[in-house]
Amino acid sequence: MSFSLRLGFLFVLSLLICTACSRATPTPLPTPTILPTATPVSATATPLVRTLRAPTAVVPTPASGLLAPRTPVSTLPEWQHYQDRLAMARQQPIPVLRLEADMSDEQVLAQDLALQDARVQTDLYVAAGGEALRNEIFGVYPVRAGDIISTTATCQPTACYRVEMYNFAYNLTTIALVDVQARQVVDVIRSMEMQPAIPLALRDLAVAIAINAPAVIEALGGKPAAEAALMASTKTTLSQTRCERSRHLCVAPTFISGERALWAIVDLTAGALVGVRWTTVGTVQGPVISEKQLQDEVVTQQYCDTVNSLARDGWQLDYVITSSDGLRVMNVNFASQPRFDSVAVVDWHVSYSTREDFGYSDAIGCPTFSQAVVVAFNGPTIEPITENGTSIGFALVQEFRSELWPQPCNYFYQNRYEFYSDGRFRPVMINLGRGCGNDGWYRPVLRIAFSGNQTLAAWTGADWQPWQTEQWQAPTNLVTTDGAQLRVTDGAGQGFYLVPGRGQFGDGGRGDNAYVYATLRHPERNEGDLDLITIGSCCEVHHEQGPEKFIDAPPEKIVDAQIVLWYVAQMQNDDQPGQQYCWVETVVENGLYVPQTFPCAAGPLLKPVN
Amino acid sequence: MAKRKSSKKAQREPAISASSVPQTANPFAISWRWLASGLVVALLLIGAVLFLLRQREPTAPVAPVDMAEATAPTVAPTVASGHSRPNDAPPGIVDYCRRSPKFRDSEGFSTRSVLSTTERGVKGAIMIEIDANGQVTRNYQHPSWDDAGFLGHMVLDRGGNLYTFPAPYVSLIDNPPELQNIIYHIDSATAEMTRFYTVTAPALPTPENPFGIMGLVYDCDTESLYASSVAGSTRAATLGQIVRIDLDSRAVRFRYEGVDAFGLGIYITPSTDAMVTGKRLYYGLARAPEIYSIGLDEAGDLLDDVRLEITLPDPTLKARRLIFARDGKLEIRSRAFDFNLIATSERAETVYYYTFDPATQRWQLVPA
Repeated sequence: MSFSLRLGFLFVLSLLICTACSRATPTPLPTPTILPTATPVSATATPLVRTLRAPTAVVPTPASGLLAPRTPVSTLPEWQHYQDRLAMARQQPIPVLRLEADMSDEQVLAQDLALQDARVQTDLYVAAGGEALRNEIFGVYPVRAGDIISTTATCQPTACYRVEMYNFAYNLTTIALVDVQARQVVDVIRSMEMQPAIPLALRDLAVAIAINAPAVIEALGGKPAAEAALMASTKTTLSQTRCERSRHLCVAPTFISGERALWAIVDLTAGALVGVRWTTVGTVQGPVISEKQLQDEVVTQQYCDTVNSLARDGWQLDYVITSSDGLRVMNVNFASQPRFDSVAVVDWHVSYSTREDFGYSDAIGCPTFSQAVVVAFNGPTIEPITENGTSIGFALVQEFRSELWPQPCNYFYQNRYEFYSDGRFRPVMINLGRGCGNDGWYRPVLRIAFSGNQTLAAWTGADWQPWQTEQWQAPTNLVTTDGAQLRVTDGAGQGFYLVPGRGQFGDGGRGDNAYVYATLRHPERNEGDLDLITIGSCCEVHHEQGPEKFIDAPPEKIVDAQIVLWYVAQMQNDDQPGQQYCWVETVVENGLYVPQTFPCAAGPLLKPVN
Repeated sequence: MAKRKSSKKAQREPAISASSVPQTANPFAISWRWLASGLVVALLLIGAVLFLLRQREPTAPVAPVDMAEATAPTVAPTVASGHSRPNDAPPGIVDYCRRSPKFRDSEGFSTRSVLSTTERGVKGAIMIEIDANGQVTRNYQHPSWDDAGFLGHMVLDRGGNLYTFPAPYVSLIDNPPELQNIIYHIDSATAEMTRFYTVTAPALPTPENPFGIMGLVYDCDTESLYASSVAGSTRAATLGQIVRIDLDSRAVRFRYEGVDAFGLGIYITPSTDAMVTGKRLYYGLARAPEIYSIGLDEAGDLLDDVRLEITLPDPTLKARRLIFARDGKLEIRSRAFDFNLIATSERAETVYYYTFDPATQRWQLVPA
């Protein structure tokens, strides 16, 4: 074999080996900067990577629940009687609803001594000389062994009592340990966010609210007897509320029906049914049902996972709560004609003018497994729109809240879609405070995808000038005498005028000062047909709110094309008394702190051409 | 032309081989030598290819997990690294070797300085120095420290290098979902933050879940970094994983699949019970208020003996951090977490402390 042949043989052999290797296992790509954007490719893990599979946890799909409107049972005699007693108690020198039933002389004495103690009186009023808060003695019990500590060492079980008081306004339990023989309060313990066991009167009231609630009656197929209600009663420990979101006093009477149990969450702070849920465990020893859990389950199952439909006043539409784009309405028809493929609010940009680059880009959406930071606690509601007592349409309204609203740096947004029986449509974006300061600017990003091909024109002051290509427009006063800024029409001349908010809609709005953008729709790129992650930063004060990213370079033609219209209103909050806007304050009402809201609203009216 | 070149080489060949190869050598023997040489070269090439493949494993995409085939008890255990636990290591904990980063000194910061990823209004990491009154007196942020958006917690290794990961805060504009499964490395000397490792996810990000890496823990004994990830998981499918990365080779050596874990910790349980004694990896679930543990072998790989250790008192909370102190106390930093961005915006934590009770072999809640 000649040298050249041998060399050639070696070369070919090496080449073959290399080729074979490269075919069998492709050379890995450099470290990817992002995860694969196609379907995951086949495994290339070497045997050196060992794997182990975690035990599979089977989580049963929760039974569907029902959220009640949560309106106080003001007509229920038991509730009204309780309110009367509370109102009388707040007029007393020591404004506390005392425990009266089945009390021994020593218990009464212990209660009196406790209420005279300055430490117990700490939380009876809003402030010194202010309005009385709602306080109630829930129990007076002999002290337990666990209560005997150094400060209470003198207590003997027969001589000392544990007086438990609940403050509804602060969700606060105050416990006074009282030595009735020495006639002194030996210790006072305050426990925030904790609740003592409720007294018998409140237990009966909770049952009365439950058995008279339409949701309970409907679920059980008739009004249950009060005796049918089961309620765990613990006299030994404090517990956290079942209403962890509202921080109200809530309990859960339970009704057994065959192998199922119906849980009814009752809000004793507000006097309302929160909702009901079946469990299939056959006993009441099943999962703990709470306000948040019930709300999250219902919203997720019925409004995030399910597309609902609505037909009313000549309109037909679908709607769904999205992961991050709020309540999206889709396939919107009027008079059987397609009008909008989808409408949604994809971002809320919040900036604070006195702090550079300080703010947030809030996404609103589903409560779990979502990209939302402000979430839905309940599904949408449908409200009639009336004018002079006559119905002229309806509104589809969806609320999104931060968990701790109305506390500072928490937010409350509304999507409100108004459908009028004459074909007008107005998507409204509402903020109810409170934000992180009184220098806040809110810029919601509204996306409207029209059905079919359209041509857009802007009013120049003299005539309608078509937009040939994608572009944006700064806030302008160039509107027709009817207030129209833009016109979007199809080939037959049918369509809508866009009338920006300038404070004329009677909803408190002070003008939208909106940037508008028209872009060519690209479903294949997901420019909003599906959920969009945050598209703009919090704090841009100019047109760079996100939609400008969808204007191509060079801008695409949008004449007789599928157009997406973006509308970014600008609202500045205000906390000055009498001028509050995009704001919320907390006031005391019947001994409770309740939010007083000052909404700000923005959104264009889409008024049919012809 | 080619032919002439070959001729020249052929003419030189005897001269080259004259001193080593007898003129009378059997031509077949020469051919076999060439064949043998070829095989050696081939074997070297195969070895090189395999070596390169192994080195590049971290970047190679991984197929969706097949539940049945994923369990691999027959795979040979990983060979223990050159590292081992020193005799004077403090009992229980495994991060005894961690050191402060060298850039702390080079930037002129004192021992009263800390690295934080949770300073309000600060994207990424920042080093701050605090005076005796707890007031921030100065700060430093390397230009690369905000490259990955908002960050989760950090862990230190024996060289003072830091490891961290992206963690969305309020929105995804600085933390896009496709970039959340990356572990970052901050160099002890230069302070520069660079991508260290991209954990491959079994599925693409969806609007249901914008999260990736959720927790890290470092083990001095085996020079391992463990990372938990929930990337790819949805409400219906638990596709998260815990991986062990060998820091010497920067390669994943073990993958624990099908678990959505949040905080991680490692502890060597003090016990006389042979079934209980040993080093265990603790992990808090992202979907439930529970902390589990699983045994670790000498190499740091996971054994198949998972057990529930703790159920948090508040059913709405999840264990975000698991920190074992030298006194044996376990600090659990927990928060509400529902696979959305609420918890990250509020950053409200509830801290629990537990101690291990040798008598009951259980962790006991220490009253606040």
